[in-house]
Amino acid sequence: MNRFLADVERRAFRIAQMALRSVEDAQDAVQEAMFQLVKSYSARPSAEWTPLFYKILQSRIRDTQRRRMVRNRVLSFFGGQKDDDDDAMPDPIASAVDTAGRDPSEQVAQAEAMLALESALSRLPGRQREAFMLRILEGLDVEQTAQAMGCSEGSVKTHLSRAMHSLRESLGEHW
Amino acid sequence: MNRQEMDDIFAKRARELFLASTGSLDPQILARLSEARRRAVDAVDGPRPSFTLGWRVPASAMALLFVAVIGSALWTGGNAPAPGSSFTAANTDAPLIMSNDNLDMYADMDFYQWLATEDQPAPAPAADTSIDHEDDDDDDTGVGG
Repeated sequence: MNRFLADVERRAFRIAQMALRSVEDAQDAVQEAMFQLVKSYSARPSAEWTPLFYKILQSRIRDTQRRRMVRNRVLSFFGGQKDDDDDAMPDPIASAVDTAGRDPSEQVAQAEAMLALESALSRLPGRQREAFMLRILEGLDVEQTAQAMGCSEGSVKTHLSRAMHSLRESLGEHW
Repeated sequence: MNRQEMDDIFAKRARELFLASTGSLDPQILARLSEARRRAVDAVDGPRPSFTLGWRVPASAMALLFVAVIGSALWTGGNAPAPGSSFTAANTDAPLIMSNDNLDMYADMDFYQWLATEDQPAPAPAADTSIDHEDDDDDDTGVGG
């Protein structure tokens, strides 16, 4: 279990961060998903851990988004304070440490491309974003993605197709 | 290049960028993730303090038993029928209602009980049965006349 979590934690954090656009919220979501997986499913076969972990993580992400939505409504009702979670995300270009030894211009170009992808992802409907992140970024197969999202494989394909179409249209040919 | 090929290229690039971004995470974030993982794994694999479980389990069991006893007592006490209540009456009437006999018979029960006492044969000599019968008729005639 420790090895599994060590393998998945970075990608899980980035997925949560891209969905929530907050470092703190992403860390909380990953931590809760780890606890829940270990507590409830450590006795299950290890082949089931990946979809179970991402199912829990997606559930935590949705919970956080719901709480944020309620909080924003209350705040806007009582005086229209702005939710500053978008500002909480650090600039990946500034914080990037290149471990692959690439030259800085390539590094900056990649970081900018990733920022553009994140921005385009944030404008997608939630289910399309989930399908894209789990299937393409995390690399789950269709069956695992369906288990993690709690829907049919056909729905995954539909969400993914729409997500790809929207993202490509949004990012353009030169991305 | 068809749409599927373009999608594949797009997906490949997106995944490469994503994986590159996970390789350049802030060391503080990585440390927090490792700490969270260690705590999660320790929570299950680590030794459980036997002292706390030693008294908590029996105490919980006793509390559960107490609640069950009080609950069952309240439940049965609250639902017990009072003497002479409609519940008791319903129970005693149940055989009458479920019987196939004519209910009119039960309504005239006093009459049938009286009839049963009247039908009891009077103590008389067995040899004089026919005579008695005639006597009865005579008596009847005499009474009627």
